Amino acid sequence: MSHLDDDALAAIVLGDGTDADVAHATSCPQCAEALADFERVTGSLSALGADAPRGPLEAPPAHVWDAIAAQTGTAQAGNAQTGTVQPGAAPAGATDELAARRAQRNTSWWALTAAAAVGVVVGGFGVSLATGPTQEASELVASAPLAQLQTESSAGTADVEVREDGTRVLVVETDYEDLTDAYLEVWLIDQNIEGMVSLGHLTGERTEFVLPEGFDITLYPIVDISIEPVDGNPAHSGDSVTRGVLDL
Amino acid sequence: MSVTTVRRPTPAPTPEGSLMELPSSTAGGAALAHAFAAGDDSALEELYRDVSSLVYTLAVRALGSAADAEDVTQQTFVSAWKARETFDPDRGDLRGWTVGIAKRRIADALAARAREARRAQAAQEHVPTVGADHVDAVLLACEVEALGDPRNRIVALAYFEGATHQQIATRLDMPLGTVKSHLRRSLTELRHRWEVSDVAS
Repeated sequence: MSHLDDDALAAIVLGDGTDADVAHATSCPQCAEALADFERVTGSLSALGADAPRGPLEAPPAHVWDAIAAQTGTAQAGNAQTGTVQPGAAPAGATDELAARRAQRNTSWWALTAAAAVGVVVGGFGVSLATGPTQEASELVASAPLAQLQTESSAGTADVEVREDGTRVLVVETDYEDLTDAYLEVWLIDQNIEGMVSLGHLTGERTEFVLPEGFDITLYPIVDISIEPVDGNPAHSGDSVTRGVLDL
Repeated sequence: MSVTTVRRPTPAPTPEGSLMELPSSTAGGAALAHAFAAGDDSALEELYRDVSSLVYTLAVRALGSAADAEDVTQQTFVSAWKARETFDPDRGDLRGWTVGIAKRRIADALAARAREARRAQAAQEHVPTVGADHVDAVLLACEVEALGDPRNRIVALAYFEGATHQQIATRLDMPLGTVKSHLRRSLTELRHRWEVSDVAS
């Protein structure tokens, strides 16, 4: 007889084990040991009894994460708080680089064409997903090295992947900073810088955006990240900070 | 970025109705564990989102002080991050490893208190100390909460209140078989979680 699985062992400690399983557990040292582990758990649970501390788990106050982020050099203080949005929670210094870049922004090539482009925004999809590593297998179909427009230094990558279920996603991995009065929006723009679509905003160093079915990405190969003031205006601000071109 | 092209094995199909779903900490575990070991700081955030409530609640209950619990929580995640190269994502459970670190930090805090108390009352023999067994018991209670609804309620009814399976079924208006199935899953999960945090410490 093969060894008992967890479900069979748990059934035995609950008094629901089959005769054959119980017999096996008494004769097989390995299963007897596993069963003893289960009995330790139930024994400890029973020992806790009515005195067991009850009630929902409590989240630590927000400043605990801030301290951890500061001590580990993790830039995005505030992001790790479950269910709380904390505008302006970025630690001092984190926004300086972007703020400085905004302040010193002069007329970039983007701004020259922005006037022509704002009239032809195709529309926003706004389907950014929670950040985090993709669980499914996915196939890389195109990639764009990203560069900071001001310095032309490398700023991560944007990859188009096809997941196992056929969904196409744009995975943006780039430097990310929390801004107090603005957010970072991701766009796909055509070669003529005339049409563009908004995919949504960055939520961290890795953000995934699902591309709508039927959307022809070859027409919009430029990946653009802009600083958008929180002003309710859905058009591109003209304030691009990062850009790359997909190798489609 | 290499993470984008990693293929992971397709999970085995889930038998229908067998409550086979893994807890999120296990399902997301492998990818998160690898990202963490590789020094991806967003993995630290994700780990914090996942485990900080458990760590903090454990510390509050074991130490009886919110301020000390905040310190322990902070130390736990900073220690975990600093020691990430010693964590083998192919062999260990990141959540359990982190809880193991928390247990050590709590033990340190308790030991520091005991030293303090001995200094304060050098002449006194009796120093109340809370042992590691107590921390384990408190951890188990926290892990019961972490099972989520309805399993936390079912386990509490069965073991903390001593209800029979049939009483639980009646009380929660749930088929007896479902209650038993939840209990089997819960015990399996608790055994696993308890074990990995023990190995880690």
